[in-house]
Amino acid sequence: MSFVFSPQLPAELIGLAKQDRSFGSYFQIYRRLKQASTQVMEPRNPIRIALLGTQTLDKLQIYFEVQARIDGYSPQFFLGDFNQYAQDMLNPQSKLYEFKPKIVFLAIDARSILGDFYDDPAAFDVEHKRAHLDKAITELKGSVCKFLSQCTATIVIHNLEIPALSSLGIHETSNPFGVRNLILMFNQELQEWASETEGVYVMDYDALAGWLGKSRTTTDKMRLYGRICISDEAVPLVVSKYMGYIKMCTGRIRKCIVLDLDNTLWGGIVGEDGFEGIALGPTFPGNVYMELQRILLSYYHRGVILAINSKNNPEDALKVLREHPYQLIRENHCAAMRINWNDKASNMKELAAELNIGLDSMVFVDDDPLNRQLVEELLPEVLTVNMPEDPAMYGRTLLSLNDFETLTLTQEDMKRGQMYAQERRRRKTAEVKMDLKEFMKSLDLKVLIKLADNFTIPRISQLTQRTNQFNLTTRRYNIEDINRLITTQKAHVYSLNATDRFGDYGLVGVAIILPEDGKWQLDTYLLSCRILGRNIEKAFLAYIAKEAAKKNVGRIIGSFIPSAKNKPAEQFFHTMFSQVIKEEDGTYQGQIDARALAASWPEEIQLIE
Amino acid sequence: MSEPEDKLFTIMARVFGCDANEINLDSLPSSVPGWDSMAHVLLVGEMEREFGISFTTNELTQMGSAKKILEILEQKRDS
Repeated sequence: MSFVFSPQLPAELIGLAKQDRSFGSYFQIYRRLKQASTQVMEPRNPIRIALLGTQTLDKLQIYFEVQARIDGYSPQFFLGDFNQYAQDMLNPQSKLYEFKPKIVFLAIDARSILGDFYDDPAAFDVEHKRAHLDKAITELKGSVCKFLSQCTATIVIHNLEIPALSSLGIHETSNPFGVRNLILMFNQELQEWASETEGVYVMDYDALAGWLGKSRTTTDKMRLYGRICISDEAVPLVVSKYMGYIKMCTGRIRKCIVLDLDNTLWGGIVGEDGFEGIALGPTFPGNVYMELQRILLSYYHRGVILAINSKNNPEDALKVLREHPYQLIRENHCAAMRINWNDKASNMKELAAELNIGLDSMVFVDDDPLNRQLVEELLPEVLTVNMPEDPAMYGRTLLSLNDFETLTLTQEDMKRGQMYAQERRRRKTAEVKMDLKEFMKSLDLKVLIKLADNFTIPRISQLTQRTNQFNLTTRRYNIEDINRLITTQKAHVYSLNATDRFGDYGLVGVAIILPEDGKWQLDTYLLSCRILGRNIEKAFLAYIAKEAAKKNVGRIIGSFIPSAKNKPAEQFFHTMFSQVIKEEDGTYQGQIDARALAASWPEEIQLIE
Repeated sequence: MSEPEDKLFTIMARVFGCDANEINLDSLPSSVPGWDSMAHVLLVGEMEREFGISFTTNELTQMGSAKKILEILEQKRDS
């Protein structure tokens, strides 16, 4: 299901939340939300969230609910009983199983896991401590595995906070079985296990606590009084991390950072201060901007697209991008650029159209509050980052965003930023050569189509989760779903890789076929919007038709399920399928004569099998 | 009604999810439906924030009624 962006809170409460993000403020909003019995809001983007742990989590849930509603979700919560997470996860008859969470947060804490020797490690011998730790890890892993064997959910586990104070004093770090090392071992083992286990993630709670300050992350009084280990001050930070996971597992991922230039990527205004006059270089204040550019490039290298939206004379700005010795973000890192005197909102829309991505995939970074306000008001789908006044704080502001969380960080992600930049070069070619057919031929387009294997299934699942535009049925599948389709339903799951002379697009197409008597049912047919407009959509279907014909299957039955975003697929459906009928639920059914279509492979595309 | 009293009742009403006029000095956890142990913990946090104070462990053990809470608040203000 596609995500409709709209906060699930009345506007006045959103206003309150924006003014004050503290726990106290959110608590008041929460209360008013619960009292407003007359609210008639259609629940959108529902999500079932379980909070389990070794502490009282009510405050976390209160803040989480308000934040999730601000971000457009209608959350439902399951709050585990204090320290019952293992029982809940191990017992298939438990309320947790009945609740069927989409995501489970396991807020464990070091005191509960280590027990008494957290406070007095010297009182216990080494074997005893090692055995205790082993048992704790086995218990945790066992509980999670049992739960995952019966339920499909994402599990997020806090790692343990390493205490900053110890009676061992300066000897704490040299004592292999002091608390510090015990926790390091636990965290290390947890992390290794999670990185090998599908659907399990470790949240670095220790780093989060360190960021705020461990003395402030927990209020001892409230911990001892109400078993609340996360202070009111720390709750917003934890929830911000949590929201990153929620966005990840609902496919709510931003793909593109759109950057202003003057006073954002460099200090000063190039049109006034001149090429030599802007602040950009290894010494202060130029280093402020170089560091920011390195951070932005780190996003580029993890697959986020960069684009430029600047009010400037193009020649002034381009000279910096091309020739400034300390400019790190060059033209070839930018997938699209609008350097002109138009308003930034119009530029934003043009950038979205050129990149073929939604405005809701874009993040806008600009030092000028007026520009930000304009974009925020005219294009609420765009995430306009509330930049701090001091540019030295820009880096941490961007690194605190939780909007780029992909399910897995695949090779595809790491390459995507580069691929979009290559696309700009391709378009340039397309603009120069007016003849589309020539352009297509000159692309030297090759596709590789094959059946899914263990190597490609994670990416296939990822594509079903986040492809919105060219997707006939928008069916979302996780890895287990795909495996199940193949083993129990005998589905043919095809993947398509594409390359052309500009580069490798990677795995960008998926087709899932459910074979039936004398016909094939096209359950899923999707292509990443990056490669649309190259006839690949026809080629892929022609290939499937040929495979069907080989097996003496005459008909391919397909359906189109309309969503808010899959218009591009609708036209395609009506072009390719015949005898189309509209069902009562708004979906369309149609069919294809496999033998006829099998012969229609586009000549400009080369097939590698 | 004194100023801290007014403020206290407003906070209590918000935390317990009831109307401010349902709270009075005789209110007890047993007489206010929303005043359970979790709400009590939330109440402590809200009072600390709204009055800009921090209760000691000793004070936390004495908060058995609205009247007692108000006494503690007034003591802290005067000291």
